[in-house]
Amino acid sequence: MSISPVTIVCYLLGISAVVGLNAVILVWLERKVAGHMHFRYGPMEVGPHGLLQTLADGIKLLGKQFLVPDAADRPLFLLAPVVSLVPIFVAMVPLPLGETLQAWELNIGLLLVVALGLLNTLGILLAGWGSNNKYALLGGSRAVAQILAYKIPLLLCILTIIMMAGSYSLRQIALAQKDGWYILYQPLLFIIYIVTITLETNRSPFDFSEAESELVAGFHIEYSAMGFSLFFLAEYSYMFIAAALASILFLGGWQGPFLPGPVWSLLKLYGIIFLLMWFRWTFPRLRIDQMLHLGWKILLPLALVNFLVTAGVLAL
Amino acid sequence: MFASFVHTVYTLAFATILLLVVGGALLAVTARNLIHCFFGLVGALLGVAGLYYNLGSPLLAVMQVMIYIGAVCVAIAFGLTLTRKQGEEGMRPLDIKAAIPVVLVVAMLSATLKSLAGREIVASARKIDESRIGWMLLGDYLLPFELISILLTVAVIGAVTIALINRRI
Repeated sequence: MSISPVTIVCYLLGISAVVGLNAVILVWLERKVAGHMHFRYGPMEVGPHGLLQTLADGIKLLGKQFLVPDAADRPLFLLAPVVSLVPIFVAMVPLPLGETLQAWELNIGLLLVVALGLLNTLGILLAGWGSNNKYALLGGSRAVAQILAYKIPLLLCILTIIMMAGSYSLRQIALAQKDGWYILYQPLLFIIYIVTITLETNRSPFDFSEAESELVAGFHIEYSAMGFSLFFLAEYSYMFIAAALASILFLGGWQGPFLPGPVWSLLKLYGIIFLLMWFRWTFPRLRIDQMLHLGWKILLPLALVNFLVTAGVLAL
Repeated sequence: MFASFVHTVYTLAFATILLLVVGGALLAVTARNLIHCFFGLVGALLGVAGLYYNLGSPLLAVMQVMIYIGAVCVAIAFGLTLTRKQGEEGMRPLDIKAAIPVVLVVAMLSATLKSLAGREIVASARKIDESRIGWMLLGDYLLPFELISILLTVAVIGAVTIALINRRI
């Protein structure tokens, strides 16, 4: 309660800058990665190697008209992009990206980030239902089925890490890995975690709620202009948060030799994001029943066994 | 100057939380459309999380978001998406019987407020260490804690049984 309003405003500005810049860079990176994986160049026209392409697209989207379909449920339709985006500003607060680069050290930081990450699905459901479109509704209901399948393995992963570090604080968890990153002790858990964050961020091979080739664009089919771009801001920010969590939980956060902390943080973070992009452009989409099978019958027992074994080893 | 500004911001934040709780709850019981009811419920639960934070327990607030919104509401939403799109025709209008709980709630609230009138309410600034909650749940209160988990197990087994009965194999 003693933080001065000026500091709060500075933090908000900083977080907004991260959200915006991250989306601009990631959209460009996604198109570049996709291009190079298809043996083509991706965007090349605007700026060197197409670096300013996203900026140009952003300005174009700002200038477009935002349409609300006649049959849509107007309040829900307008609320949906906001519900998707707002939790991000809070979820970024406890993320430590460096020794001192953290908005607020919170002793339950990890729980806060995970709890707010779950709100994304509500935004998708709102959009799906509010659009009054059969593709959108299917996308929304798939998102809900999906969250039920990945949430429990995700929470078990996080519980295991909490148990090993003995703290909910993201900073303490990173500091606990000074002598050895958790990925060395828990390689299986890292794989489970990466699969669950691919599910959490709705990315291919698990992009069921969007699924261009079956649902056209799924939940955001009716959104134009800024409504559409807010969903994309949210999607890329959730990727940033999920990758930041992965780097803190398994790769020791900002710690590393020679380079300063924030550089290590960003290297690890964008390395994991690159991994997610690599998945997207190499794996075909699963069927929804295969995803449910994966979530409930493979990830959940694996995460549970891993949790129990870790508890046993720690108790000895 | 800053102090009064901060005070205004906190008052506004508290008003927003109250609006979320009361408005959300009202929407949840009065809306004709099921999905509007659902999001009213989400708003009310989010507001309750805000109240917990205001009362000095961020852990409880985060747990409220994680369990009630992340789990309970998502489960309700899952049920909603599997039912037919009902609402306008599927629900009966409010009748006179709905007045009974309203009267009861108003009576209880006014009695509570009357008993509090004239007393000074002091907010306890004491910070509760979150790890103590864990020690107490797995120490002194282990038996009730385990009983609750048995209750949950029974509920899960019951749900699976009901699902299996109606299943044609």
